[in-house]
Amino acid sequence: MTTATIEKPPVATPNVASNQPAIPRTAQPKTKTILVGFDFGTNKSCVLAGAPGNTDIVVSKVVPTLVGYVKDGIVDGIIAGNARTLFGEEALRAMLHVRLVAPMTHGVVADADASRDFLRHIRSLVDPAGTAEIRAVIGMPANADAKAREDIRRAAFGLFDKVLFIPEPFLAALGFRDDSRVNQPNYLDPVVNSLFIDIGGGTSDLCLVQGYFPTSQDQISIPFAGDAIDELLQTELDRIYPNNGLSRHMVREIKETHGYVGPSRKPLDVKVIIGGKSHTLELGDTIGRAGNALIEKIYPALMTLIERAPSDSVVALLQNIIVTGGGSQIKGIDAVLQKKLTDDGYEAPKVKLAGHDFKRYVAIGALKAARAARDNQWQVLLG
Amino acid sequence: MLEERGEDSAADALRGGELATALAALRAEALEPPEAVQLCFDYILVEERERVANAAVLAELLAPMLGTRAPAGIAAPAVHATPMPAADTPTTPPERPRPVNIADFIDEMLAQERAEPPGHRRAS
Repeated sequence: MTTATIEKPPVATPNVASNQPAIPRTAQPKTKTILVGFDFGTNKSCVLAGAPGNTDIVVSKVVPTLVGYVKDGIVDGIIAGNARTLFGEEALRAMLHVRLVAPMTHGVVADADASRDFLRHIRSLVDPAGTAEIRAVIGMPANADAKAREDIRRAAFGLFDKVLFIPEPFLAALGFRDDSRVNQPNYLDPVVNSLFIDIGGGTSDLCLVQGYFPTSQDQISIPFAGDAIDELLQTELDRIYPNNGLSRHMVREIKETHGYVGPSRKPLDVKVIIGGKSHTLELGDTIGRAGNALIEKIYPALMTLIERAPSDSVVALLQNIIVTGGGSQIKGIDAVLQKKLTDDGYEAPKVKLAGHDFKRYVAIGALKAARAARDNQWQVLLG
Repeated sequence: MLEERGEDSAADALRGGELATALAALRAEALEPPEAVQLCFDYILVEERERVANAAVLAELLAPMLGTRAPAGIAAPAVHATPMPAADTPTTPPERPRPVNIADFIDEMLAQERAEPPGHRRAS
């Protein structure tokens, strides 16, 4: 049985600006099957792809989730190949000549056309010829509501032959799991008992993973994450240093380089270029306040999920709290969460960072799920 | 490379020291405005991070394959797919379920979706 999801086709507004080849959707036979694990992130997306039946990965890319529509009147040759639509880094490089559109905001589709163009680009990365059957597992924010799910389904309609939508923090647990160690006696399998905190650009998703598929009660999604920190930081910078001219991109760079949580690290001198001149700004408290706002949002959710876990699982669960996503790079976030739990009387909690592959765990988990999915589990988006 | 290895303090030191000096010299000598130099430098960093991350993923994927194909007596490379220093702690869950099958998880997910009224799906 194939689980069919009845979908209305997306509003037929052909994107005249798009230079992407149309994906063949006729009855012509597919030459091969490609499995795709896709993390559709608010700021960065990650796609992994490989063939069924082995563990090889033939495509592995992290792409800024951005679409650039080339502005009218740009002289021939300015944009490579005179493309009309650019994606990711290419769109960023050509920011002077394109209208940049972010397809996603707070983990959900913000611009339907841009989302669809971006997914079409992702498809072209894994199958340039457009002749393969694509089976994609796509991450969804924890507890994505019906509209959010519907929007992503619409964006994916016609681009992927078969799909599965799975909550991102669960995919992160699957991706983080070291399959070669699951039978080792002392290995704390994150799929068996863990609590994942996935701090992305748009949302912070927390999820209990305890050997069964997490229910809605096991997941909490908070619309406060990297972008919200950037916003707080920029507001604070504008207040302290009016007319500073720092773009959101530069503010994000400052956060990614200096972001921290916990006690003030003042003085924290940050060198920035404003109007072509180098300035040194003291941002210790400013950056600290913005980072600590995140802790104030996610810590109550963390306690809520710990309370919801079966009591005989909590001691082991406390040993396996894992922070992933871009937010895991904020200095001190593991130590601060662990200290707060300790101060609140939790038994020997241990908060760990997912590590250097934090951008890819969701996609790695998604590709594992794609490889493991049975034929009858794939869904077809119907027009 | 240092960031990829998790040596953040060494990376910070390099960034604030040798790299900052070289960048300042480049800015001084460049014909382009400083913002353009900075932007160019940022792009290079992004591309290098991506290149190193891709290499790390490739190494992680190759390591277990080499391990399984290596002749007896040759140890498998000591490369792990995930960092896990704290995972070796002796604590184990009270009841250790057997290794779980991902397809079974997907079955559970699909069953949950079918059980939830459409208006309430995954609504918290």
